[in-house]
Amino acid sequence: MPIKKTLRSLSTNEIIQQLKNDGLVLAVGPFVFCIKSSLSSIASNVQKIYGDFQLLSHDDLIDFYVAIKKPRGLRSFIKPQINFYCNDSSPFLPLPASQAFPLLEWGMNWCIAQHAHHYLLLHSAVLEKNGKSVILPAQSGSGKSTLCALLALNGWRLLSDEMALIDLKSNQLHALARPISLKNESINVILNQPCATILGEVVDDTTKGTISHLKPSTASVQQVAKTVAPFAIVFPKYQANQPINTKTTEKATAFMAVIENSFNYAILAEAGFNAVAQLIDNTQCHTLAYSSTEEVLAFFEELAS
Amino acid sequence: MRIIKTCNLVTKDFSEQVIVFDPNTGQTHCLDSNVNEILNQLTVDIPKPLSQLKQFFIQDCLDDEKTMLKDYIQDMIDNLLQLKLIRVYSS
Amino acid sequence: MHTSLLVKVLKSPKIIKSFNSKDWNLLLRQASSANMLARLAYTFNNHGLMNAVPDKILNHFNSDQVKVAHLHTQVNQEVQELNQLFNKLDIKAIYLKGTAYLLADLPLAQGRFFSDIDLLLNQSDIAKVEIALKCQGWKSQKTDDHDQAYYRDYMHEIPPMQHIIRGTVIDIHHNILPVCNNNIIDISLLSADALKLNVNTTHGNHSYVLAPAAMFLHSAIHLFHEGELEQGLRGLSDLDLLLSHFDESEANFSQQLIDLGTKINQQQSLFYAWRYLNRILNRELSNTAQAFVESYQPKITNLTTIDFIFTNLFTVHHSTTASWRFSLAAQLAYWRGHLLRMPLRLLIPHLLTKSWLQLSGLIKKDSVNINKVNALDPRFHQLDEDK
Repeated sequence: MPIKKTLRSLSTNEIIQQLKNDGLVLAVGPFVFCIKSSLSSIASNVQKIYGDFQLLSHDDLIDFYVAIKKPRGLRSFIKPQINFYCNDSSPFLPLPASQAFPLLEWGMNWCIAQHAHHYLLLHSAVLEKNGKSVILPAQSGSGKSTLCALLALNGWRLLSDEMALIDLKSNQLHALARPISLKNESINVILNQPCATILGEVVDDTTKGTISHLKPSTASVQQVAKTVAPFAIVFPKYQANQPINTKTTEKATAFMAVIENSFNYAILAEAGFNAVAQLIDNTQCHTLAYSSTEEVLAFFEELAS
Repeated sequence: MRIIKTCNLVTKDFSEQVIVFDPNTGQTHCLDSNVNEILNQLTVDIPKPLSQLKQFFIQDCLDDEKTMLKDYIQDMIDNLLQLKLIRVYSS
Repeated sequence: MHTSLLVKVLKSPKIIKSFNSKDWNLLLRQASSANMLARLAYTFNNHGLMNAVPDKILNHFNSDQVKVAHLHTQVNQEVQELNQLFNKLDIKAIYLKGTAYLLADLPLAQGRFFSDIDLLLNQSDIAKVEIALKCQGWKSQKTDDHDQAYYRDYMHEIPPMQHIIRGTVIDIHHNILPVCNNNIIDISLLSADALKLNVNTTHGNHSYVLAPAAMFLHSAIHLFHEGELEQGLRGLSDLDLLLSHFDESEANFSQQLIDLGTKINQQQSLFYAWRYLNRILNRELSNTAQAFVESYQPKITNLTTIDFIFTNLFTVHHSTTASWRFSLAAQLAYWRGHLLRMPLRLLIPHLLTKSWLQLSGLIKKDSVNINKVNALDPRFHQLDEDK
């Protein structure tokens, strides 16, 4: 088997040049992105966080052409701002230039959520251990990203921090192994974990508060093409100072909660309904209230055993 | 009043609930599983009188149960009409 | 100048058989910018070419088709509601453009996006309908006084109305060109033969679409009078598919077009439609059409400029094909669009007021769709969402 070339094989200067000129072509799970930007914060974060990702070229098929650049016009002299572009159009309003990398991450997620309707797309984290996968839907107050990072640092393979991709034909979960976005206090929680971790630049003052990105483990990125059958759906809820509490969720309730958390259920119509029905049939569904790291890790350990 | 079922409904049964997808509106509804009993008695092309439908469900009931059950069925029918899962047939 | 690959493919779909990855990448980018992915998928399907499309690209086509199907479900729902309302008010309504193609079940509806539901009503019915819509949760989109006045005084439509929950937008017209246009169209001639839709009992029976010749002419008038031609190629492709369909289903369609075009004094739009279908999409014209195009003397001083504008706008679309020609053509078309729609004395104050409102920040540009995808947008996150 030919050895896949990763981003790590490029020098800093080569990364900067590719981003600036024709664009850097990266395989991100089942998608291929061409990323363009002349901002130095994009180059340094991409190098730090995407090192293990497979490098492709303009001779490969490309799904999304994305760019982070300054919008035209006088305003960019008064207050430096940047915008996200997907194939020439900019779906968002501009943000301050300091938030370039988080904006790129959001933008890439947006591309997938808007265009990948051959998957059922759920707003959730997905991890796998011993061939058993868990889907963690991102409900408000779930602490999904923190939990996802904790599991990823404790032997679980990261499939995705933000989005579950369920193939409509095979019903299998596909991985993205994208960086995990962490907010506010969770940055310190994760930095205190024993395994050394690489975080991207910490950016203040986004509308989310402080934000940084945890690099996905090399193993997770190397296994990105490995699909897995859905095994469990866990609806997490962080409850300060409370002992762990888990309950089996009624299937009909889980069905509706999954729909709630889907990006494209409505668009998929009957295909979406069938995919959710299959998913619910094939998985165990739990609610999980937690506060202690040890307890919650033990719960997932047992789930995967 | 005669009623018919909306075309192409897709359902997924669970123990106490049924999830109904209506491709005409794109809506998904989570309903009491008894609704399924009603939907199963209806067709998309042959209208059925409401009285006949009620009679089917109450035939084996005691008299004091009958009134209650009729009201319950009427509530479900009203709800299904509102959700457009069934409609009043007008020819 | 790059010639658009998209146009080459529309002219001759079978060239995709020899495409390499770079060609596919370019086609995908141009087609998605032109909002024509699903349309291309439809074309490839018709030519039995789906096997030539790589899986990765096919996913994009399929995704777009899924979105179009979803849009059609939504529009059908809205139309049911609207028809009930027109029934109750006893008002005749004619659906136009995308909605009409869908309701008339024309082949071009497959694979076609549209953003608004366009309606043509009698001017005298509009006030009644507007009030009834407001009672059902529809709200006028333009709120500043200048825009309201501009629409009501000079335009052929009232400000678009949007449903406050579902977000759908309805555009209500009482004519198809601005009422201040010098070349005002007698709308009754265009709508005279409107076809009642064959709808089931819940739909009611007050909904119509324009008859074939009127539908084609309206589409052409719209395309060649619009100021913003970013979707120009899509519009031309619409005309192409309409013509293919009606040339087959209608007797003497070319002559019908000439007769109606003459009656409503829009021979020029018909001339442009046939001219550019032929020049840009290589469409073969019927003998009647050909003879008309050859003998028609356009009422313009300079056909070369018009050719420059349309040839460039219909063929280039994207940064991959952009050139100075494109921006010049786009500018010219923008001004030409406005000039055609409004006399100059009205146009200048309108544009000035608009720029002033934009500069002073009174008009907010809101380009973000309201749906679950916003969860990915930084501005929609709560600070405390994730612990």
